[in-house]
Amino acid sequence: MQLDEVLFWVFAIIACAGAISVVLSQNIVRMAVSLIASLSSVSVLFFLMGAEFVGVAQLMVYVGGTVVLLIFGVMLTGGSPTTNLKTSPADVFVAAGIGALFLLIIGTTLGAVDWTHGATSSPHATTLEANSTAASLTLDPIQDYKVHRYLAIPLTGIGVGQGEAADANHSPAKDNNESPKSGIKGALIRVEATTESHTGCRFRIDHPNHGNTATLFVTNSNALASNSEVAVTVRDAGKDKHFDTDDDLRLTRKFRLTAVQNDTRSVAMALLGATKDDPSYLFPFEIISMHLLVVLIGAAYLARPKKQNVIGI
Amino acid sequence: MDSITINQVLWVSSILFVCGVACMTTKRNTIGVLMGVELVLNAANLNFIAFSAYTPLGVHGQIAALFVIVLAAAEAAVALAIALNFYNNHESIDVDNGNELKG
Repeated sequence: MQLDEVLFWVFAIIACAGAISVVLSQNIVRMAVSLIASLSSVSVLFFLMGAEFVGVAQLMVYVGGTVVLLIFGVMLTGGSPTTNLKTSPADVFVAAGIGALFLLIIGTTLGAVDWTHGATSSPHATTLEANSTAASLTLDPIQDYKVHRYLAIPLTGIGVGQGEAADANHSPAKDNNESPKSGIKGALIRVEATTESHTGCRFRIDHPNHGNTATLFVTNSNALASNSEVAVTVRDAGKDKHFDTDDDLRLTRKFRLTAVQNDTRSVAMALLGATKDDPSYLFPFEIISMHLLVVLIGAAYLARPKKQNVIGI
Repeated sequence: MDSITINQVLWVSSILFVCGVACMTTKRNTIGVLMGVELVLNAANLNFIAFSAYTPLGVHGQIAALFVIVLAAAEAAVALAIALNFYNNHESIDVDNGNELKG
């Protein structure tokens, strides 16, 4: 359990508990305090995902501005510990039912979509590879990827073949042994991924049933040095069923991972339009800044103290 | 435990969103309704940043989140001004009292 996972779970639970407490609480001041806790935890989640500028903006503008404005509203509209506007139980029941249904719909949609599909594309070429006369290992070539944070790279065509020219997608015919499915009965295959220049980048290989496809998961890749070379090695244990001995067969494929940084500098560059492919966000930002100024002046005018009509007695 | 995937961040965002919608529908205090609106906008922001971090969306998700923060601040100011006027006219912050247009 790494530190970023622990931090994520702690602050995700605080954010959700704060949001649920806003809904369930009947006291307006307690709702405001729970909202502060929830929004601050969301800001920490922004920091964990590498969006530092937006996290700081969230803390300053949302928690330090908007929620304080809400608390001022509570003060001016007579919110006190004695006033209690309870919702009727029928409304609570209907709202709870609709909320649960809504969460179910969103949750099933989340689970049904493969969000990593847009981040990867599998190579289509297959090749043959022969290492020795007795057996050969195969692994399809892997293309270069741009990595943002978390990437799932499919590795296809893993197999052990018999002889010089082996088929890339070698499926087991009638083997029922417990060893992984491969051309050679009893072959034991292991897939590894290494890179020389990684600081905190983690690889994990998912090789279910040691079949002919695996998935390489790259996490925490913004710690990866840009344009690193990653080597994926498929290794067959050979006759002695032990790895790291002399009769292991090895096949290595290399590809490059380019880390794309999403830090504060890239936010500033995108605002100015300094990247040649992407448009500049400067003009829309100017427009909404003027919009914010006009709205704040209008709100201050709208909330001005009005002249009271005093009926003299 | 595996590392954090995008699905877990989207679950947090959807729980925040549903809580915000429940807050908007059940609260009788106008300021409570506004807190629901803040929760909904924060859920959308978390969604943007999650897709910015985990997919090739990149820095554009963070720019969109900045836009959302600015516009949410503007909208909260106007909504509070309206709530203050409502309180001054009705002597109460209960939304159930805003029924003058009832037929």
